Amino acid sequence: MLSLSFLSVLMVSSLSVLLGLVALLNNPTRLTNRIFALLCVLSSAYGITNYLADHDQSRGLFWARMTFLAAALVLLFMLLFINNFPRKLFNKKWETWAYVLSSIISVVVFLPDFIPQVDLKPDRTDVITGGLYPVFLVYVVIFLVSSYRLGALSLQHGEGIEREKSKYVIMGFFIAALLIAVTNLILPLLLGNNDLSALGSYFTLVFIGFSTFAIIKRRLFNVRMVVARSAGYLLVVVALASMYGVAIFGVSQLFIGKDTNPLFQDGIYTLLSVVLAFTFQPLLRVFQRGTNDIFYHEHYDSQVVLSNFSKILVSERDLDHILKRTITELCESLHIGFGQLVIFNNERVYRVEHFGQLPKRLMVAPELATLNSSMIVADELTGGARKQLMENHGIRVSLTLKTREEFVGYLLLGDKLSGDIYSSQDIELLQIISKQLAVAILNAKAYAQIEEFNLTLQARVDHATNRLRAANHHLKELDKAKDEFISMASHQLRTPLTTIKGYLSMMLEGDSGQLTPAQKEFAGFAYGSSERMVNLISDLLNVSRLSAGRFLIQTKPTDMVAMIADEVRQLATHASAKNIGLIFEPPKEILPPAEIDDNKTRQVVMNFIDNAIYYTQKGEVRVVLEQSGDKVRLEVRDSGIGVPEKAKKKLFTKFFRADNAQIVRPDGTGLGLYLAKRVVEDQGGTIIFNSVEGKGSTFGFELPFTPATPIREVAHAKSHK
Amino acid sequence: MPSPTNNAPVSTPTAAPVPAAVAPAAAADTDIKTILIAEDDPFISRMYQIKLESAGFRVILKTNGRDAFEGIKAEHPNLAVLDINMPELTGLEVLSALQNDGFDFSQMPVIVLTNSSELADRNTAHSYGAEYLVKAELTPREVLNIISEKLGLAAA
Repeated sequence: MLSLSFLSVLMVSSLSVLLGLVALLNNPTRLTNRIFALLCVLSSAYGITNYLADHDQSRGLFWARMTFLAAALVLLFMLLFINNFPRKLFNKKWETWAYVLSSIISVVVFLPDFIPQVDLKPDRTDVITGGLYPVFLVYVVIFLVSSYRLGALSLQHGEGIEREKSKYVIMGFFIAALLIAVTNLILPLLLGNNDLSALGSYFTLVFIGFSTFAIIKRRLFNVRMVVARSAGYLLVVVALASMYGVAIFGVSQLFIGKDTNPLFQDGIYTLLSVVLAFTFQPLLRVFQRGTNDIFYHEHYDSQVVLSNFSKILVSERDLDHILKRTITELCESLHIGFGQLVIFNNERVYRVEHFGQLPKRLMVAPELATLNSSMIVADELTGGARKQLMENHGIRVSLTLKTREEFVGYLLLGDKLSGDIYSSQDIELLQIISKQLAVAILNAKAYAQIEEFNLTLQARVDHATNRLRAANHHLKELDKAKDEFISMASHQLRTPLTTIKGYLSMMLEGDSGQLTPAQKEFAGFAYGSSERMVNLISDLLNVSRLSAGRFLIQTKPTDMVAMIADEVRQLATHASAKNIGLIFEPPKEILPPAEIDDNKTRQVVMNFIDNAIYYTQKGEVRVVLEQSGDKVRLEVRDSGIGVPEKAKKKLFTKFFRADNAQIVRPDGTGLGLYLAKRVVEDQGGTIIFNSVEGKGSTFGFELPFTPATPIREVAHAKSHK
Repeated sequence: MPSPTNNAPVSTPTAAPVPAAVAPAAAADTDIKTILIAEDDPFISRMYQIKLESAGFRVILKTNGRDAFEGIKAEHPNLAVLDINMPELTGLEVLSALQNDGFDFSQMPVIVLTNSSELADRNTAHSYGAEYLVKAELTPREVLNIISEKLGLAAA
């Protein structure tokens, strides 16, 4: 009984079952895993029934029929597997037809007309084919062709790793199926004997081999996990069996004698089984943790890693922090030696972050561009430029980070510290993480760019401010040069003016002999003009002093009545020449000398009177000086052209001249009133101004009046002339 | 300083004949006051000379600061009128040199008569006890009046 052939068939069948177990344990809830498990069990069943048909000759006919049944079902599940792996290709309706056909053939194989009888030979059982036998052949052809067509479609649509996986499984199946079809279906038909049919059992090895290759090399299923789980189950079963055994032995020794009540015995055993049922799960967990530690020293919980990841992405907004923390978390959790994040912006490398030992060479942008597909695992590439590139740079996995709209960058991972290949758990986790990371990086990038923009903006504002500052400085220099020029020119003008004015005054005083009335009149006009020019130059000098900050009020006791009388006397010639009355009304009481800036105030008074005469065509100019309490008030009232309403606001600003004033006096500087305001206000006073255009104006000031005690000689001297 | 040219309406002034209109100084000469004028513009100095001499003053004209300094020390004028912008020494430098020389300013009033109206110059002049006046703002008569005041004489 225990022949070599039996042992080998048993081994092949066990391998097949084991393969199914691996698939099932890997993910018991996934449909493809279940289908694959069933497929394995059925191939094993086929191997066994095929053997038994030859060797259990007393039931030869039954085993032969069972062999055909198993083969039919193997074909069915292969078809289902291809249709569902990696994802569903066709709908349920299509599958239903497959089920219907299989059900029919399952019945057909047991009908007497299919295999009426078997021909028992010493070493084998030959099948005598009946009338229905060709139906089975048709069935095989339909399923093989369909499977082939589906497989081709699956390979065509499949991508990367999934395609590799199905490729090996389908290839294994077809080779096995063809070999079996040749030995067990076609050759018997052609040669009329079943000499080679026993080989059919062994041909399932081809399928097993290819599938195993796909599992190990292409990660079809996670073998390590399956082994760990199997070991866990095995241990728990052994442990429980031992415990149970010991318990039963102990109980029977202690409580159960020969005359024990059978009801009591049953109760004890029932109790034990209840205890067993409740201890199973906790024990299983304990053992699984143990086996996980043994088989998975790199074990991690995907959920924990994902939750840590989410925490980082939620808590961080800074791009550099996100990159640093995520690559660190990822590499540490998955026990990866080297990790790199390369983030792009406008097709250029924007940020790079590393973890761990840097490889000898880092990839440059054009190299990275060749990796532009969602995920590349170097171990799954059979060759080519990409594989070469990744190998050269020590990269095992490359993920392209992108959102639906935008390309973000690359996540490159090196070897695992253990040297193992990346497990399917790793791959799944990486795929989830890469999507989250892409979104988070894109947001952080936008945020960082806003920050950068703010910085640039600040820099630009600073730059512009500096330029303005420099321009301002330059303008100040220019202004200073202008003031210096005015000052210099004015001083130079004063020298010839001194002689003109001086000699004219001497002529008028009779120093050159008696003048005719006409000569006196003309010389008087010339003198008056020279006087005005002197004042004009003083104005210019004062303005340039004002801008240069060298305009200072220097007070001294001044007899204001004498000062104003003096100015009125000097301008009387001008007034009478225009046939305008010029009247000075001094205060009724005696005005003590006031502490004011004599020169500057004198110029203000002169300016007011001179203007009044100039802008009045007929009538009079009245100069009124009054003192009331601690104020002294001067008003110069004229009946002249007046100030237009719109000019009033700007009248006291530098170089401003009202339109009507420009017509009357084109050579005015627009400085007189500007200076007057400064002189008055710098002495703590206020300007008096009101005017009606066409009727006349009143200009004047109100100064604080402080009687001065000691009178200096010069002021005194002036009051005497 | 502009120098006189042939085109000038007034011929180059000379120190020579005093115009006829001006009355000669009083005969008893001990009371005649001497005024030193330091001024590099001949038109201006001539103008003051005429006015002062007509009022009976003796006038010494100097055209630069160095001569003015020497003149004051040698001839002991009763009053000095100094321009600021002059060759050799400015009027203010003359004052400084005199002070360094131990000159007693209380014996001789000084008038700084200039066309510069810089505040600093004004303050410097005041620090020597000198009067500070702007030429263009005054007529020769007004200058004469101020000089008379300084010398304690009645205004002319």
